[in-house]
Amino acid sequence: MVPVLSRSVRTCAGTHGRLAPSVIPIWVFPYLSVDDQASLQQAHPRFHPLWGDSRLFPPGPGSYRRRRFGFGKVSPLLSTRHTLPSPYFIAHLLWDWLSASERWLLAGALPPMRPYAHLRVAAAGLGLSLLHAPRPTVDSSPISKARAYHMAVALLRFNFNYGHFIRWLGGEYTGAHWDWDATFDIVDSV
Amino acid sequence: MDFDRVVRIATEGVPLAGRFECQFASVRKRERHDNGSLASDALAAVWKKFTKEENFSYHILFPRFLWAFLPGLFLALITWVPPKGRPGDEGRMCVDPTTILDGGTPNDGILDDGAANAQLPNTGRPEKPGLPDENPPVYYGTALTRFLIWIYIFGLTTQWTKFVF
Repeated sequence: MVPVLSRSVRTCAGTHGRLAPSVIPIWVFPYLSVDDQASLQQAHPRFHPLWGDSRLFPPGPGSYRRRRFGFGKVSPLLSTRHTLPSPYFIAHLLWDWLSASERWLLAGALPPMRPYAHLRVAAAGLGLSLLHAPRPTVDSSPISKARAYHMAVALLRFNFNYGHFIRWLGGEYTGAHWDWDATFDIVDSV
Repeated sequence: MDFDRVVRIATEGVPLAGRFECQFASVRKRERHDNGSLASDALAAVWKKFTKEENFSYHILFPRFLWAFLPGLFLALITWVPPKGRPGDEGRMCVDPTTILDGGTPNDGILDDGAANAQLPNTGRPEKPGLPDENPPVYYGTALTRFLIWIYIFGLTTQWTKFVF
């Protein structure tokens, strides 16, 4: 089995080609009218963007090495794990190898896979620059669900590696916004 | 004072080392746990408090279904301490990584081992080198003494009746 990035993907006609038609709807879908979206979904289940192929890349900015191998350095001294891995995480790892109909069946068997499929579609086209912008001031307004969804998309694009995700966020999330030199000067003076 | 460790804690967070392991079934059980101590009329107060705290701490919110996909996730229960009537007291939310569900007895065939604090080693055991990185000892030094002196001087120079401690 070969992941979607390098395989010759099956086409809707059952032959093999270099570009899968199932990749196209995810990119084209947001630009279609409602009628065109309905027509495309009725043409073939494989054209439904939820079950089509989608490629995940770590979000930028970052060097090629960071985008390929992740952000920051992983400490071998600190780790958490489950005795048995999450079946949903395994399904996430398997997603690239499944056909559209298999993904549809999987979403029926594991309920969280349906919102996951929606998240995956969003990850194909959602910009994440606002997460690096200054955080909006929170007063009595409701918590932003849009920001939470952007966070989820970013985490998905890091393959749920929250260490890389936090280091990518940086700033106030990693304490990088503090003036550490001035802080240590104060500590030294005490 | 172990200044090097203090610097690492300040810049990297705690613990500096540790291996935490639990069953995924425990995480699932905690996700489905209904906090029975929260009355329905307190929900508005909890939501208001949660919104307000966004300004002071760096909470990262996610859609709820994402818990199922995170490898190595530990879920901590959030409990609500209602206001006690003091001025300015709006109640408190407590993130509780200590409480074990069902009192530590197996229920539905699952023994809850998803409390992160239950896996912290005891501190102050020199026979296990490296342990302070997992659970660093805390020294208050003269902080309490200085604070009491400050209160004493404050009381000498100020009318106590204007303040509520």
